[in-house]
Amino acid sequence: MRFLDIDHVSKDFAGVSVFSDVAFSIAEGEFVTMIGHSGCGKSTLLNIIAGLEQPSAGGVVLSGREITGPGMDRMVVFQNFSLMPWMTVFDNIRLAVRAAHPDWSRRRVAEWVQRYVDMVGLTGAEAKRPAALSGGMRQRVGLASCSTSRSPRSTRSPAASSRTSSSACGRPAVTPCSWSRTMWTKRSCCQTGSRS
Amino acid sequence: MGRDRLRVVCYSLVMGVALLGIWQASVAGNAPGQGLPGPAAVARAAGEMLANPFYNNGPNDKGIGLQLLASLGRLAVGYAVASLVAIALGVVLGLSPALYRAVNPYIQILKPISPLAWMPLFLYTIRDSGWAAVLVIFMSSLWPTLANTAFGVVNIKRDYLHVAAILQLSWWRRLMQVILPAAAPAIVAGLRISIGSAWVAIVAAEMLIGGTGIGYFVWNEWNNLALTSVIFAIIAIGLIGVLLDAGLGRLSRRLAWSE
Repeated sequence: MRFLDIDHVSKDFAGVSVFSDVAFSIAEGEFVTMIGHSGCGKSTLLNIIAGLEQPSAGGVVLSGREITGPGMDRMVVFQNFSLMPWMTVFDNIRLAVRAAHPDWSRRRVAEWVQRYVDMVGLTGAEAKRPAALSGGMRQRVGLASCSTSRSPRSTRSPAASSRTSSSACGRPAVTPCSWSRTMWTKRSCCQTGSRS
Repeated sequence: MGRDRLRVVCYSLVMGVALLGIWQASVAGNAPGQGLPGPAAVARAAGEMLANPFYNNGPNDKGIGLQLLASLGRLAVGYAVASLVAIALGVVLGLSPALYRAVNPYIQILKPISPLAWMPLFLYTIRDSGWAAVLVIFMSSLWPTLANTAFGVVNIKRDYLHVAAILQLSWWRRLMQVILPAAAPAIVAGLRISIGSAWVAIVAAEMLIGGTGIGYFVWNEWNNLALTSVIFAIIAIGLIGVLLDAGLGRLSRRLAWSE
């Protein structure tokens, strides 16, 4: 079953082609790593899937619907782990929880934020800003923010979730890559990066 | 650290005492009431003025406290409105490169104009000298904040805006939680330059419009040949400038962030 379909995508910047006719698909739950030399277009392709950039030709289809713009069904962990450096750990995750559940009350949002903080083992560091955290800790905050868009049902079991986040989309110890970009869709994870 | 600090304080004190000494020595030969007043005379005058800073004996005789409050009131209004306009416009320009390029030539032409040059136009159009002075403050504190805000917003890392796009934040939340905090260090730097130039401009504007204010006070005391008051007012202007800058310095430390 095709979950994410990269349908003959081409991209050029000001007439210079970055890549052309890229076509592959990713099944639900599949873990994919893109490897390539620097400047070959890994991040550009990821940006197109994220909806942050438009392809010059071709298209991307997610669950049967063409991607036209960014959305919370395709979360991206950027180089800075998608954290706002002026916000605390708690506020960073809260930004994502509120975005994922705009109808929730403040209390419920705060409760869930705490649950995500505990899930990634950062209890006690809620009031710290990213600059005061180690790289690995920042990465876990980023992963927590990203998992907020998943349905609460799948995150209700903290053990399963943390296992997913450490084994599938792991910590630096698991994947010897510098995490330049990681993308999560609801049930698949796709990553680009250069080996460090 | 402690020793270094002590040394700095010592140097400062020695320099201050030396300057006062040179000043006092250079005016020592003057007959009373002749020539420039020395620091002792200024200190005596300061003591008298500070003993009763808020007296009001009619339009030409008010305490220095009242005059400073009048100036600070004008500054507050003109500066606050200018800051709001400059930050709003700066964000719009920073987010729209085409608009920025289109508007930039006008900003570059308007920026170097002394805010006082607008005074005749303000007086002619609004016919109220007090508000004309407020508008001079407005003009003097607009450009640094505007330029810095636009610069700060243009240079926001794309990743932050991308995160905001993926989270599909509303424009209000995007503004308040991403754009303004990301650009805050640059914006506050602009606000800091602005308040300095506004405080510089208010003295000159009040010399022109008369009535109240520390600038008018300086000019009025010059007409009275009360140079001790003029010198004390100059020192007061400097000290208040330091306080204004220190306030914004604290704000800038609070809003600073590092990656």
